[in-house]
Amino acid sequence: MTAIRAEWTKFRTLPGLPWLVAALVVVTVGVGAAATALTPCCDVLPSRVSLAGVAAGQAAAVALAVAVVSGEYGTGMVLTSLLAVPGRGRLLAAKALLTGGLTLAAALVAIPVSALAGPGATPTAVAGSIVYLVLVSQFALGVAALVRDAAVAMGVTLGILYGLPLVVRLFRDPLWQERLTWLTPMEAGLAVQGGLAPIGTWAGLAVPAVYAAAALAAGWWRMGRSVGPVV
Amino acid sequence: MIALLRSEWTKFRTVRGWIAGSIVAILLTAGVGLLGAAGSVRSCEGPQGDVCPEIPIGPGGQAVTDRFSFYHRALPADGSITARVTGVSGVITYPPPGHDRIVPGVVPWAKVGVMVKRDLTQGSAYTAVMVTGDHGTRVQDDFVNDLAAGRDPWVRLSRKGDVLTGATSPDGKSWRVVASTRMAGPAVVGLFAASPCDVTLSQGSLGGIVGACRLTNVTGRFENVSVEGATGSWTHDDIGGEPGAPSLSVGSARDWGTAVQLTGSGDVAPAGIEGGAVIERTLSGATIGLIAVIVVAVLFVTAEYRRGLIGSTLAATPGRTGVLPAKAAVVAAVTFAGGLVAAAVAVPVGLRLMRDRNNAVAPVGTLTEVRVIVGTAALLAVTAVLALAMGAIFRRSAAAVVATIVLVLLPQLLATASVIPAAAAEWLLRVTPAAGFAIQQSIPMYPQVEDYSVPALGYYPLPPWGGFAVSFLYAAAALGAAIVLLRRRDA
Repeated sequence: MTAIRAEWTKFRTLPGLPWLVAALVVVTVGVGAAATALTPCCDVLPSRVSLAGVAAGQAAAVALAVAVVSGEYGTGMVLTSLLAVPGRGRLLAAKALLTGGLTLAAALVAIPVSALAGPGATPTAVAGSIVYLVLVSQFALGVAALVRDAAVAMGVTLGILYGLPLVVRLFRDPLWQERLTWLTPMEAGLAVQGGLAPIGTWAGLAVPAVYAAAALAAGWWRMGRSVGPVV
Repeated sequence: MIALLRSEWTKFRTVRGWIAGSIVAILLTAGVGLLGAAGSVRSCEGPQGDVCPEIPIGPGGQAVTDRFSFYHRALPADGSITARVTGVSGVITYPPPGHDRIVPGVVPWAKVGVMVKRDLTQGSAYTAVMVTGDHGTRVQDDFVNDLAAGRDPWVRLSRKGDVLTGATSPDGKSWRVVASTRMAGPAVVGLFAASPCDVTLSQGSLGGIVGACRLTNVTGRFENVSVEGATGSWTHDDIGGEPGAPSLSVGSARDWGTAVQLTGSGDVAPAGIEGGAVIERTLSGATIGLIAVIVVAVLFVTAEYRRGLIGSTLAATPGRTGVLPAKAAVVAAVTFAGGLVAAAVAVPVGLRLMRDRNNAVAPVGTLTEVRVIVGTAALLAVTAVLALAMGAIFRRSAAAVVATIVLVLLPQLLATASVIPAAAAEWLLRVTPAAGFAIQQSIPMYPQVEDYSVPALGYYPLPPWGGFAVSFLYAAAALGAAIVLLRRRDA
């Protein structure tokens, strides 16, 4: 509990971090509203239109998670943190809980507001998108703990989230598209918004969940190892 | 400046992570595309068995569509054909919104008119004067050339020596010459009718664009048909017709002497993306490799801030102005070289893999192939400069990486794989740095083809170098801003 409080104090007092939470809400709602304004009525699933902002807003969730972990490695603060919380698993868990909680809070605002501002969304899509954002933040956190450097963590996370679907689009073969979609956390995870045929509504969320679990496990392993030279 | 460049190059080459990152960028750029090429297997099942149909190649070397109804005679030497198009009607199958009926109608690019063609093989040279469904009277030749010629109903093609002249007339008396082309030797002259399929684009239910192409045909009524210099008798052929084709696509001709009624389907035009796999498919890895490039370029600046090296750098360069250009030059050169290696491997090897797997590859000229390869490397280099400038502006690696990825990749993703409609998607690809991906488009868009001209299917709204210029301007503007900020701000 004290570890979480320490993380909360760091989050609260560092410049920029609270803004990322605000950015998550603003970007998600804003892009969703823009998509609503641009898309003619009823051609597309309303859930997809209302919640189109999730694709853009997740970048803020990623940035927050990476900043919470990599910021400390960048400044050497991590040495102090580890002195205060010697259990490295505990430190990572505290960071994960804090980041997940903040993302959940932001998503609880952003997603329902998007749904209300747009042509509406099914309860499944709303709940699933909130879960998706939290999973993405955990994935980013794990990656950041694994690679430590903020830029590399950003690149890896956003590369997997944004880059993989772009590559999948270039495969014209439907069989390959389907196989590869199961490897892309964004496409599979957002299947919960409906419309992606081969992947069931909730089953798709298992993909980002697996990515998050693997990344957290790898991050936990790396945290247990030498901090190495910092600064 | 040389000393500056040398010092920046030394910094770059001695940091292991940056070299590793550059190698990762090369491997991703080449590897992902090759994986895709290895994974695209085409198999065809048709009346001929397991053989995929050959895509005809036009005189200009492009893949073309050459399927139409042709009522013709032989033209050994000089001669002419004149006709008045008195009626164009047709049938469109299953149009929106219901997609449940066959209705009378003519698609905009349905064509009926007169044609002189080298021979009856698909893809051979031709010149034609035609009346279209919705684009007036036109003169077209060799699949890619297209000229508007008013709205006159009288059309004429005449050959003298090896010059073919296309002319139109409102009344059959005063003729206006529209275009002349060259074709020597024996040829075929006659009336033709073609009607391309009706293209409708709709939003896929999960976003993205779904195209549908529905069969149509056209019937042209010709009167006052007169031919000079032709030999042999009138013959009807469905050029490119396949056995077992649906009956609506089978052409027919009825002849009353000077009046002829000709029905046909198909098109005589460049094939666009239907003409086989496009070569840029082998470079799909560039979007992933780009991320490694962005990370390395950002770190090349932000690491100096984090480690305090920037103090020494600026102490060694009191003017400060040269620092960022030198860094940009180094990172651009490294990225360009790496990208060139990756693309120069990925394209030929990828094409070989695709051909081995039965894929027809849309033929492009050597210059286009070079442009796609060099352009991809240049796009990576320009993006690296943009990322470097972002790093210098934000001085924080995380913020710079997010900003660059959101600027370059997110528009591409939203434009091709989201619910955003095609018009908005095109604007995204005009005004953001993602416009530069246009440099990879190898098959140009032809106005005379009603095609799926949407970004989701590989067409960019800007021409290749125009799109590249947009990305370039973004990078230049960001670098300029970064240089000014570096001079003004306290490091």
